[in-house]
Amino acid sequence: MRRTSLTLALFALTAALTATPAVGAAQAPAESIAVWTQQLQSGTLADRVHGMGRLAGLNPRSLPAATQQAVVAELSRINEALENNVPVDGATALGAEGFGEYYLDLARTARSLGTPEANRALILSVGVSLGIARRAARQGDAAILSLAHMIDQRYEPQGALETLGLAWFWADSTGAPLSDASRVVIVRALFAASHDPSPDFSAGVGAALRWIGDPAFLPLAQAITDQAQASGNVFLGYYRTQTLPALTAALNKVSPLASAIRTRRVVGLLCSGTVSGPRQGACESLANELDAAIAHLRAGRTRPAANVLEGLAHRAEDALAIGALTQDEATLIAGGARQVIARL
Amino acid sequence: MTGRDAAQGWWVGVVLGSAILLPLVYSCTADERLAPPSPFGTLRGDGQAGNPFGPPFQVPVPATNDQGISPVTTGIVIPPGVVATVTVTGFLHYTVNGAAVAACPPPLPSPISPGDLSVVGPAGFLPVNDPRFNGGYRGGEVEVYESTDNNPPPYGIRLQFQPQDATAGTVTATVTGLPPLGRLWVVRPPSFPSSCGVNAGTPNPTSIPGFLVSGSQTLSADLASGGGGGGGCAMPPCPPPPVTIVGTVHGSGSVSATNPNGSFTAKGETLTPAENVLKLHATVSPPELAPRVTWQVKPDPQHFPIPVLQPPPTSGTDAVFTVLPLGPIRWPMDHLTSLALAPKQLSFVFTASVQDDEGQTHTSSPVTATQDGIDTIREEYIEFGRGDPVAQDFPTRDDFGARADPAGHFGPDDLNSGDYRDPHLYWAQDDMLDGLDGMWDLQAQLYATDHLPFNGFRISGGFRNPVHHVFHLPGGLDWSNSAHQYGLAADIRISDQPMPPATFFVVVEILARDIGVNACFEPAAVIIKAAKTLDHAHVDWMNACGSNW
Repeated sequence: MRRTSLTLALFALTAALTATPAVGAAQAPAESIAVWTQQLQSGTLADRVHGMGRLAGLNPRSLPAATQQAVVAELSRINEALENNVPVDGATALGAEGFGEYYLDLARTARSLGTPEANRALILSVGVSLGIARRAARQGDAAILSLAHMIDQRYEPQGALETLGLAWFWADSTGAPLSDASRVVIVRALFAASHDPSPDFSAGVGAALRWIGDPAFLPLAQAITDQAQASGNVFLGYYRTQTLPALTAALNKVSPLASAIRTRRVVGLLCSGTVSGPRQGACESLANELDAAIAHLRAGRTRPAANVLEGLAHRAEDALAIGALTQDEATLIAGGARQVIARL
Repeated sequence: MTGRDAAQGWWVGVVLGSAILLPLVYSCTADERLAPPSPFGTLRGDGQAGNPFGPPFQVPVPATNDQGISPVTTGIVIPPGVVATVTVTGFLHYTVNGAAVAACPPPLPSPISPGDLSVVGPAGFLPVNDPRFNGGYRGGEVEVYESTDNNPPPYGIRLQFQPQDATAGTVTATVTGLPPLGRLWVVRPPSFPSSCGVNAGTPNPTSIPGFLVSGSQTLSADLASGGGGGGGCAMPPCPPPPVTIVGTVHGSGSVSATNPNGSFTAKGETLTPAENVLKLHATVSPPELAPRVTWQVKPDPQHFPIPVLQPPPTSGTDAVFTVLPLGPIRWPMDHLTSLALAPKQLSFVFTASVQDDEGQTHTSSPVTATQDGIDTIREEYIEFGRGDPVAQDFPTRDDFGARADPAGHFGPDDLNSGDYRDPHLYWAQDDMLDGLDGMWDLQAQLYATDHLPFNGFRISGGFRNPVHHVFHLPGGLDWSNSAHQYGLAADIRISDQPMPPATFFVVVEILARDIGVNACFEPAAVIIKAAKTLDHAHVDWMNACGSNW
């Protein structure tokens, strides 16, 4: 009898000392998850960190639906605050370590959930990992405008640019839909980034072109490499060792005909929406000549194809000279034509 | 560990360890049993008291109050079954460090020391009622362990020195040589926390110890009086002992199978076999008294004073004691205090008792079961609710050690940012080490192409044990499920490269995202939101960090 009483007292004392239940301790898990979910939904930032830290130790897919939604909602709340540079109450007090770990707890858990809602929320978290960037890229059109907005806001532009390149590659390699409008957004974003000297844009455009998998962009990659060499950009090494080899390998994998067709697609995208003026004339001529070159290549007439492509390259440069094309557009078209010629 | 109570006329003895058999030595009886002859041949003075087992050992003296001494072998080996007396003599002197005073003007360093002592014997600083040290502090003592092999850490049987008096210049303990050999090791925890913090709040905070330590202490072992291989009876005729009781205790399952130290944790629910069961065994003579055996458990004053909160062991010659998990609030909130291992270890002292037909109670010598350093750090994962089997497996003993990366770029000082540094105990998983080496190689390639001077990159923050992560970081409580706790994260210094820190931050980002590295990365906006500036780059390899689509 005495031992029983003593045992109960000892257990009570042990419980009193135990501020947080150990994993597997005799406690109803649903209750704990409910408390942690509540903290995540409506607590102070310190409360949210505690609740999320405990939830992150569990199997994300086993969490109740309400908890999963709370994780996604909190990730979205933080992401929007970061993108729009709005203060997050408690972040400064938490410090970089605490706030950074909290953000990673949210992003990792959301990635493991794999639900459509979580995937959408992860678009703004593409800065976390290549895996999350790929998850966002798979969403195609649904992700492109968000990514472009991130770049405009200068919010994690490296990850956003890289994800644009991955989206292009995913659509081309799997047949997943990616609209021309989205592709135009991607090309314009790459052009703009190639002229931005800040490190994250320099790195981002290099990574995007590394993953894009389309040899039509090799001339642009070569141009930014040359520019980096001239300006002493520290990402020259990345362009040389990663970006150019990746696109060169992509070029070597396709036939000259396929390469010409890729450039033709780029011409169509660049010229879309052009309805008048010298630019319209240049676009029509370039498209027609490229179509003719492709017809020669399909028929096995390499010499006539090379002649047409050489003329096409000069025409692109002429269009640049009169302001009908930008430097980047001319680089892509003329360079695309010449890299086909070089392989005939 | 054995002793003889001549007045009462019975032997009491205890043994710690699952594979240890202590011969019962009955002298001057018809069926006399003697200890086996020494496998080391005839010892110098075998069977006679007072002969040394080796030259005296100079116990290393720490340079400062915040330093301890890693396990070091004394070179003294006690043959199996032989009983020796171990003596430690000498004082340590603590003087205020002028450098600390210069950096932090008076009243620092303060307090002077636990009990305001400046000269302390081998027992070290003992817990005294000193509110400046949270009511008491233990440290600086000479700890001696006996192991059965040559592999540190040697936390096996710990010798119990007496007197436990900080002012005593000489302390002694007895030890019985374990088979195949009983090697003595010395460890010394840090003395007490006192320092002057410099550059607090910056990426490179340092602390200057408050005291310098000098002095000399010597350890020696001598054959105990009447003990050991000789087996003689000092004063015949000796009456045969009417009752004997010998208690043993050992951890069950994986602890006893994989750990020679008899260590344990409170983990029982998901591990097979459980690590939280200590098996107690008593040998009683005459055997008909066996059903009357009871067990008592007491707190071990050398370690965390928790045993009174545990349920008592069962009764009988084969009893069971189950270790219950405690909770986070018992752990040191202060990093310097947390550097001392002993106050954090769970340790239980057991005694077995039996009442004879005359109503007399016979009690065994106490036997102690103490967590070793590895299980102490694993206990943190239990009590902080870390290591869910789904998200991250509960760490095994093999996960912890002073592990360098295969390429040799990072050593223990780089990889271990936790509280267990002397000796280094930390977790560094292959995914992280391989990833860091991959980043290093890729950086070398990029720098070579750019003709930049390459010296690699340095880690400013590596492994953090849960206590350190939750309690000791500058931002206060951090309950996040950080990858630093699982040996899967590194903070990288960005201010020591041939380019602006913000540029190298981006370089780290492209390295982290590379195929073959596949790390997670803390975006710049997240760090800036909390710190207002980029002061480091964080990479980790937790689950969901891969590069798959």
